[in-house]
Amino acid sequence: MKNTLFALLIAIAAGFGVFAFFPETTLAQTATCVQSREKECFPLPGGSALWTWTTYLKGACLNSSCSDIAQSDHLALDIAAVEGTPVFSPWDGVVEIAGEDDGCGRAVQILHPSVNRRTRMCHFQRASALPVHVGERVSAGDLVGYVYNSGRSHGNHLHIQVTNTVKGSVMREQEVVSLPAFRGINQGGIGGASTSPVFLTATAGTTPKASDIKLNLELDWPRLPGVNKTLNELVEGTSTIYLQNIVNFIFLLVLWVSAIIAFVSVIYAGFSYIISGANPTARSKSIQGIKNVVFGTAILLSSVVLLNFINPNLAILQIGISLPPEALHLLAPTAPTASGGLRQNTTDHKYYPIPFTDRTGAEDTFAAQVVMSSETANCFEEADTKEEEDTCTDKYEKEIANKFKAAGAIIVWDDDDSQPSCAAVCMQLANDSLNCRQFGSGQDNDSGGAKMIWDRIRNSDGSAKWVPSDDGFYHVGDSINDKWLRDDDSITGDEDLESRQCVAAYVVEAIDAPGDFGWDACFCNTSVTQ
Amino acid sequence: MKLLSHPGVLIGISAFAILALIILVAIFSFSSNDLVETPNTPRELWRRNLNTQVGEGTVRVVNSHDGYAITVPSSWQVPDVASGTSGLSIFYHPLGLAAEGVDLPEGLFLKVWVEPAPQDADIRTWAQQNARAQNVMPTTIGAYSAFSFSRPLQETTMELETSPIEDSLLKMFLVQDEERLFVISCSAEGAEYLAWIALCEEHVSSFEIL
Repeated sequence: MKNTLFALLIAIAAGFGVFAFFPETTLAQTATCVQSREKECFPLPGGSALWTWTTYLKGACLNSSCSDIAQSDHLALDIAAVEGTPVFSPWDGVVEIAGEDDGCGRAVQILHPSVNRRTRMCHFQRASALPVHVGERVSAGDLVGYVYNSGRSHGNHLHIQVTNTVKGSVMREQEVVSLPAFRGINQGGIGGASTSPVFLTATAGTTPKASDIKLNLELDWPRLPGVNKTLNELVEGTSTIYLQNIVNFIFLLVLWVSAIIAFVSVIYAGFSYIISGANPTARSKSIQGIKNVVFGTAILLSSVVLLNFINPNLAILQIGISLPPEALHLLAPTAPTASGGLRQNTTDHKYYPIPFTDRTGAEDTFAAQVVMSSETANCFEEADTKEEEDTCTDKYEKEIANKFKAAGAIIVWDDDDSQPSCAAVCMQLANDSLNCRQFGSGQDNDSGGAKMIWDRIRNSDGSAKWVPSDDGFYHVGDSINDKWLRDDDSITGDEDLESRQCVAAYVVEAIDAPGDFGWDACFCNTSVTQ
Repeated sequence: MKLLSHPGVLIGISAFAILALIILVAIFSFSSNDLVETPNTPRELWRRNLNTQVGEGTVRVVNSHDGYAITVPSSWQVPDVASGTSGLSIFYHPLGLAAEGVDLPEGLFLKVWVEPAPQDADIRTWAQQNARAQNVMPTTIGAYSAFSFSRPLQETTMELETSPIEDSLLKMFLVQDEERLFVISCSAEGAEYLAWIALCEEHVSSFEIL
């Protein structure tokens, strides 16, 4: 009986102790966060009742460090990832290339008419067929390939090139990472985990499920007193050790020890049986010992089979983690909040989340989402030439402007550029005064472009001076210079918040989701949803 | 339960169970010596451990799982593993080693991967369909009969047309045995691309099917 209990305990420790040990974990896939690239790994808090640990998500920024990405002129984004990392389509689209492309290796190129973009993803695995084919329609989040380094690539990584199909220009690295679909990368959220999406779908406002994100668990080992090093640093010279490696080691050790104990026990019992002669007590004891070994072994084998059933790759026991909610918010496309929230800086523009009181008197924060109308989407879909696309773009921008106008923004149409100008996006506030925000050459109301804009659209008493044209827009000519946000990095959100009642203007490119910014259009801080 | 009281049965079961356990553990522990687990991937697609044998200024790279070996200069950047799907990738640039995980516009790549032997099409057809080959010529690699072709590297333009890349060359060798097609490719881009291809070609001759 004692032996049976012992075997049972071993089985529990070997097979199910894993779950007891890490009550919040489930068996899932793990990633490899390469220690030598620690800077590319972003710590997130995690823990359970019994353990605390630091989890690391593999990030982007291979050909430039994360901090340098804003300065990069690289016309693509390279994301280091473990071979086999699934890659998903960032938006809906149609597959244009699915196959060998020399330098690009095994490549997939997708046209995304709804967002006027084209993505080319390179260096996928060969052998097994690509999961998509030319001409196939894919949805955001559909699997399109697996990371490798086919083509002229050195080391496993995903090369993502995003083209603006309207402008015909390839987006720079910093622009790519600022897109919602890739924002997780920018914030150190997504990428690199061996089964997690390299990037999430672009659906604004969706929250990645914990099951989408598989982590490597890296124990935050205590430092040994005196030497101020972890045990692992002393042994292997590295500060980290991966949890699943330890679990794997313990698991295999327990299996081996159990097997040896069982082996020795059965030999001992058999030998006892042989030498017991006619002594019934000794014989009975020997038989019972063998039974115990049989039962213990059966239980042990059951645990192995069960674990192997749950996780077919038992050779490396894999431990996943359900991310705590507070970690998830780092990964989701999050709207800025009054307390600072999301703040993006690039060399070209700044993006300030500032709370404001809208014209209804309600406290509000930025939460804008404009979805392209089906009519405009069709326009892009049917456009065969760049000229036709330009027409659609104009249509789209007018559509966007109308939406914001309907929400209370006063859009000043820059006739020179045939588009709403960032230099003069205004908001009608609760007291009916106009507040405008000019991101160009002036830093406050009283100087530079801001004053110029202000003077053009208000009377000295602050009332509106301009009358909108028939189309509902305020029109200006070339007197409004186009020194937009991109020319001025000196504006700070805090100053503007103090000096004006109004609003943060958010610069957007093709406004398909919050935070998808460029400088073609802009809108005031208000809630606009379709 | 009565049956379990029979000593012979008990000993037999015990021996069988223990043997099974040992075999099971041994399989899990040792069977993947030439494989590196690629999570969530079928075992046949796991990465292959490469065995390297250092010679005088050279290194012989052995992929015992896929059954081939090739010898290259020791200055070439040989990885520890080969992909289970995309094979071995060796990089060379005279200025030294490249950081991993980057695109490399300049330098030489020697890649070896294995495809199933083409069943319904001969190697020429395979090369045309899979590698945009034009003039596939018979050649030899060491003792093996092979086919080869060369062409400039190509890139796909935004208009989905292909255009050759300046100062680049791809030379591909195809060797077939009964079940497998070994694809060995040398691709070079940069001012010295011709010299690099020649160098690569020289070392392709050391290719062996194990």
